Amino acid sequence: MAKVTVRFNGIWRLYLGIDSVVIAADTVDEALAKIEQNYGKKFKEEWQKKGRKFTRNIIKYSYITVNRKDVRRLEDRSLKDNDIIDILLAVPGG
Amino acid sequence: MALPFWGKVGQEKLFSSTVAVIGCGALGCNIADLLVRAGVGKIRIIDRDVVEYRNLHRQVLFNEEDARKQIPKAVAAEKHLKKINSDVTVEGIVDNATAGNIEKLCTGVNVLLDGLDNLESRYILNDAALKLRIPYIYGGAIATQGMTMNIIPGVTPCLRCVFPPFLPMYDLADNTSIGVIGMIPAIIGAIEATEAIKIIIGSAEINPNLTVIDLWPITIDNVRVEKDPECPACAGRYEFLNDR
Repeated sequence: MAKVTVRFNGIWRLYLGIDSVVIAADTVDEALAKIEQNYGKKFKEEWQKKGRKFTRNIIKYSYITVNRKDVRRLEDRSLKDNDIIDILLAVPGG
Repeated sequence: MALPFWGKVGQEKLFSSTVAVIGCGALGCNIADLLVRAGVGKIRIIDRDVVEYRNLHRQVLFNEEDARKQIPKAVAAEKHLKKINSDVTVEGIVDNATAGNIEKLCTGVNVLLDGLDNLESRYILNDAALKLRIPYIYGGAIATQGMTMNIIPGVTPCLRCVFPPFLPMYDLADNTSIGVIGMIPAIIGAIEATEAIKIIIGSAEINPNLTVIDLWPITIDNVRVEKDPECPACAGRYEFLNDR
């Protein structure tokens, strides 16, 4: 399996308390499923501590790039070692 | 004006322009302050809230007297901005930007600047900008982090292209419950003001990216963003305007 770096930005970083992790995955979709399962879950737990509840996949509402390319536009969805996945949610405050 | 890429012509364009700052919290204060000092011709500031003591560490246009008297932010901002540059026409409007009034608030405006404090209003503003074909500069700040992106109707991705909206996100986080240091809205506001000037004077150096900044530790990322071919707002379906 490829070892890829996942960088959490914005609200993701704020809620998880970590900047990045390295995960193993062969495809983008496998990586996103792992991120949702492991980190999306933690994100929602942190959110719930603030009295809010959300059960859907948080990853679907995030802007995600692989090596700075929009994940929705990727034709080749395979991953290789040292690829970088960036995950962002809109910053709401002002 | 001495800068070659700005020049007298750019300054005249700036003085002939009208901008709207939607929301006058920390972002809005910094944006308005910088644009008034830069010599924008007319600035419209929309905010319904009153100044509170807890705002003062980051909302740089206001002072203790404003908080003690609970002056509406739009009124206090207008008063202070007129003292900074009397050549600028400053219009403070005490109101919320809503689906019902946003198009009227945008009338005659060349650039819309985001000083809002919630995502729902931003999607309303995004729809209005696309419908009226007015450039909109998104900006947000929370804790030590912020992001900003230019939305040029018909040219760049819009807010919905990048961040699909969903209802619980509206209260995902706010500066009251999480907190924000004053420096991050100052930086994001400064970028928004700079991009507005670039748009107004016709610069070719308009930022095409989503710029993401964290100050603690310092990281600055320019994320390339792309249009979503299925974005309803870009297809002319303004759900945040019509659904209300």
